Amino acid sequence: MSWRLMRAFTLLPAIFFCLISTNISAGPAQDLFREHKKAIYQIRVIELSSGNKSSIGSGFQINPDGMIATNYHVISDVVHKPEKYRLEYINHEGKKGELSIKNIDIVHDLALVKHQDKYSESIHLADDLLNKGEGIFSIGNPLDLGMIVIAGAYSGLIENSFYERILFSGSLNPGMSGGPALDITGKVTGINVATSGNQISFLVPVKYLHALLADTEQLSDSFDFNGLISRQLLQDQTARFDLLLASDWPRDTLGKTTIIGEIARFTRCWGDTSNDKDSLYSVTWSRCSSNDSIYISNSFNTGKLDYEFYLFSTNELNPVRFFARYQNAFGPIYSANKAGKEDVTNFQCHQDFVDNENVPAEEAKNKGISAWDTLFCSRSYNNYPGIYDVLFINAYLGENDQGLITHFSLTGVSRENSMAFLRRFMEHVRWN
Amino acid sequence: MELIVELVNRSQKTIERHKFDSTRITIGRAFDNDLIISDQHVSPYHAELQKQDDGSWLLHDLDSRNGTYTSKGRKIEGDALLRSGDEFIVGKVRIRIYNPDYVVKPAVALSNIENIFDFLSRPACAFILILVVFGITAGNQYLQSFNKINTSEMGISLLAFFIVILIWASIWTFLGRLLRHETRFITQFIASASVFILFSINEYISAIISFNTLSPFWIYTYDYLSNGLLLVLLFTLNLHFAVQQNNWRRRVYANVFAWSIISSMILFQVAKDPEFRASPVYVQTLLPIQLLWKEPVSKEQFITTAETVFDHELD
Repeated sequence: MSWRLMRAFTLLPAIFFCLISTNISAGPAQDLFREHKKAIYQIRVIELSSGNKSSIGSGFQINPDGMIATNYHVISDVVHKPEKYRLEYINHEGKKGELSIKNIDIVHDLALVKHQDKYSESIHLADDLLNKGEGIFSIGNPLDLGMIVIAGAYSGLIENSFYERILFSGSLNPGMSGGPALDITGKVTGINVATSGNQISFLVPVKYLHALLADTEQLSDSFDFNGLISRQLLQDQTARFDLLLASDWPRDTLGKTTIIGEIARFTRCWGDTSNDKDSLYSVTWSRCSSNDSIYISNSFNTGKLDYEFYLFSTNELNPVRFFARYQNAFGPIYSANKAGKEDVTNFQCHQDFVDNENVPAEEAKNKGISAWDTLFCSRSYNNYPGIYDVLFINAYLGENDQGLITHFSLTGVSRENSMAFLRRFMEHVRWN
Repeated sequence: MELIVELVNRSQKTIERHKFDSTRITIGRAFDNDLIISDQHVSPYHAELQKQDDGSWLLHDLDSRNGTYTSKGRKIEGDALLRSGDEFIVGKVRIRIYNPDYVVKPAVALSNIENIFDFLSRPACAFILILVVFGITAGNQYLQSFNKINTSEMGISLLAFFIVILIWASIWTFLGRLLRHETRFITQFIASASVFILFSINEYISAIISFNTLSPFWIYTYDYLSNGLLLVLLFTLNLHFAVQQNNWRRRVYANVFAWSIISSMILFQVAKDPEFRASPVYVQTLLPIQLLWKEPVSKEQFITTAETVFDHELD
């Protein structure tokens, strides 16, 4: 639901919000801005053949050597297509210069870039998180209109996400991505990254920037981006799935079935029942998903997860008509993330009928035959070996007026974790 | 000896047959000829046939305006010698001559197809059959729908189905009128409607097969093959009632028509097949478990086999 700040230039009404909030607490904001404006840069991605900027973001210098912190998504075009794009900065005086990429953290959406010029003004990084309600002053260049300060409050870390993000009650806008969010003492407490609109914005906590900076000292000058991204994605999914697979999955009931509830604090479930009076059948569903998503490129993201359950039942349709409806819900299925031809392979699948083993043999005899029509597919990431998107769907067959369709989609996951999740999922869901 | 003279149209159908018992036969548009031809391109006194001593006939063009031609289109200058079975052209009319001792082809057995469709084409039968066609189509639509039945929508699609068959049968009736001088609309309609019903029944068979094989490849294969065969049947029947040709020739025509349609469909499918798909290809058919003959596997077995989907190197 949150969207990246960099591209969309369509939210012009939002500008007025920023201006209003700037005016409210003009005092300390203006002081901070005056004090630090020399360390703040606009970062531009320049398309080589046209020579024009294709996207913009903000950044801030963090040491006297010219190291600038920004968001990974601001510079991702240059990471993926260095033959087509280059990086350029503009400082507070309007002077331009070259930038080179020094390190990236794709999971937390951070990047370090460096200039070779003599500007040595930098901003200090804070060590600790703030207390709820303390003031935050976010600086950046929204929509290429010029540098501004937005005052808001630190509202804690967001709760339904696997990744730590600071909730900031201020309005960030496209172009402010990568800019610093300062505390009242003028130290960086977070980095502008995304917004949901209406005074709900997100910052990357500064501790990840500390970690990235430390990591950069270990890194050799000539590193390969794909290898680095692969390592970071694999490491991240290991952490995520260790948590998912370690927890006890809560059992929920949906009609005669046992389904899975909220596995972790970052998977949220929503449910409802169709209640169209004219309908000859009813559908009750539970849809669970994580809001987290890792930005890889404009057309490719990962890290999302969802699982869904749809219970169909009818009192009025005969079996042939009921199955015409039921079959309609059995696909097509799509992955939870966005990916294109350059990013992933086609799906490769295995489909079969699986016994409904969860029911004890004695009961099964009384109930007659039943089975699950089950599909499991995976696609591989072209540039990041060992990382996959997997899809699962199955449909219960055993009654002629009821059925359950279950589905999950994992993205950016290893083979081992996919298989562990599949096994756990299939053992958990049952038709009683 | 007598001479048999046939007037043949361009699709080799005999339109007139005369028997002459004289040694000289005159041909032309004037009413005092032996063989009067009403074609406007034939001269009043166009040509004559003169019997020779050895039983052959001498064709003599009487200086006609448009000339006389052999069956191969060569102009006859002066005289030409003809034998039993030979053909020549005056104006736009083909004329074929035979001696009475010419051996005609053996009788064609009355085919079962003829018998069946003669029976089905009787008004009472045809009426019942049309009702059955409607019944099956309506029933089919009812079973495919899962919302409240909308009678007017159903009526419209029934009417559309009826009109499609009507147009199809009319085209073949028109062809029959043209090529065979016979109008068999009811027969064409009944034949086409029967095959259209088979097409919709085949969809159910195809669904059961796809449900049990779970293989998109076999479904495509079955669908193209079975629909190809039904098309052959459709064209065979349509040709049977529209064109006079022997069984062998009809079979060739029907197969060529049917399989060219099927292969162009396959070509189209292959051409528009995208290189990248955001959604996997699998069998989405779900049917009641009573129609499943395949033995389900255990969960453990499924999980073991499912792991092969990660072997992308094999692509």
